[in-house]
Amino acid sequence: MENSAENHYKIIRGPYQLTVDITNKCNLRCLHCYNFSGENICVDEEMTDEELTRLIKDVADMNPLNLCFCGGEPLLRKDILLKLIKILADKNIQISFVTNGLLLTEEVAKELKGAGLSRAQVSVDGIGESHDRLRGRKGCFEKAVQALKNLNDVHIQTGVAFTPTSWNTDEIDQIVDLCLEFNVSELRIQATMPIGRGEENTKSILPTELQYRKMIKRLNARRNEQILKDGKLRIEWGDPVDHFIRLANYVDECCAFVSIKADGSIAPSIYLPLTLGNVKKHSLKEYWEHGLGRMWRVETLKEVSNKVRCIKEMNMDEIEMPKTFKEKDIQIDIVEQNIL
Amino acid sequence: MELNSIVKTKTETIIRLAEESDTKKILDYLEENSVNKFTLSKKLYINTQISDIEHFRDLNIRNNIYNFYEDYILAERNGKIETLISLGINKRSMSQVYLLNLIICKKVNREQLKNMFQLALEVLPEYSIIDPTKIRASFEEGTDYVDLWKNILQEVGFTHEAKRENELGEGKALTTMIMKFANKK
Repeated sequence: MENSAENHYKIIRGPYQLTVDITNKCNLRCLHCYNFSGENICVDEEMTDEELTRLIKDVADMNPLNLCFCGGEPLLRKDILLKLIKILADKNIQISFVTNGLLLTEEVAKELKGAGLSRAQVSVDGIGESHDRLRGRKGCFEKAVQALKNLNDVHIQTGVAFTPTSWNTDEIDQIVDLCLEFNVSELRIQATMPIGRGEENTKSILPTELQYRKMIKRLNARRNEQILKDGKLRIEWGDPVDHFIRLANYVDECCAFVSIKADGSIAPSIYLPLTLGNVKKHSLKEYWEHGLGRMWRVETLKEVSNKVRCIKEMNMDEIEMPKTFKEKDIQIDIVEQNIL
Repeated sequence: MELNSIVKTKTETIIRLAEESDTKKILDYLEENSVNKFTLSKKLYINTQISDIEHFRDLNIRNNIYNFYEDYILAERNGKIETLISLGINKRSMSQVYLLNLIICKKVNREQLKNMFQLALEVLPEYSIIDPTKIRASFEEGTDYVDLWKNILQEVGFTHEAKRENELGEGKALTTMIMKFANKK
């Protein structure tokens, strides 16, 4: 007898939340970049404008709650980005995107607003030179701050992503203050991952245990202060490992979160070296109809996921798995192999 | 290991504050020494006030370590855990007290436990995300092994704090013992 979760799955038309790497090309080479943006294994295999349009029309029909365009730097494909935002906005789907802010001028902010963008997340990894050091270029901090201002001016909701490093954890109070200045609604911080360029630069960028702890202490104090004040700024200490431990062990009936890599491959977790198909070969709807929502039942996925229990293990060194975004993923195709 | 507060005892046992990368090791140790009952035994102390069976499930353990809500002190020999102590903070309160949630020993070694608590007292004022004032152990009076564990904790430096009559209902009293951090009243 089918259980209720299986019955519910039949009436869910598609994932409720997606991330789509619109490009992995990038105008920066940040020291911590988890997916080697600009030079990873996907960058020469990216979806064309036509393939992206087909995917997003598919997504629009599935009517998810939210889709986030990630990268790379999404604004390097601004024209198609605006077109895709419009398709989703016409269906009242929330659309967010992440950016380093370099290309986010006043004019671009207006274009994004006009297309229907709901929310933008700008990376700010320190104050002034501290931010620029991680980005590898002078002047990036000013542009990121200007991007926050431009977004705020056109009333696009903004978030800030902050990556802790060995030299910026004691700037957390200034980061919170910056967020308050520009009406940022969410400050998201998560532990720096030793993957991608983050692995190559581990020694120089990773904060110490003590630096993390001192930062979290301040962060908790500021979070409590914000909650007591008006709660407009949400402060999140994210965990990059938690989701796949949770999904692999506790959720195999229906997972409604899907990531699409820039080459069209479908990833259950953007941090794991395993994909379940490619939207260049079959439509997302077809994958959904073939059980994509039950993806965490796939034994190989559970095995891969269960090998990683801490952030250090994400670099796959000790567990002999392909390096995410550097080496070819373990590729399964749930349509062609009909395994769900 | 980056912590500068590693204690090497005479027996070459290393005592240290665990980090997020120790999660798997801690999970494996807890599984080997299955914490499936909320009762004291000869080699296991558990905070009698933990009522949520999920507390020592893998996801919650990881979550608590990652968020620094629970600190684990490990005594290891040849890389294997001999004794584990967990000290949790109450994330939903203003309390600056660490709750002694768990002690699991392969073999109860009072000297080693003393060294482990000593490390906690030395390291946590700097490493903690609270400003810790004391560590509190809790016992339900009248249950097995209470006297044994009270005696062990007394030997390692805990003192009686309070006895709360009928705290746990049905006439059951709760006794607490504490160990103070330096310069805290």
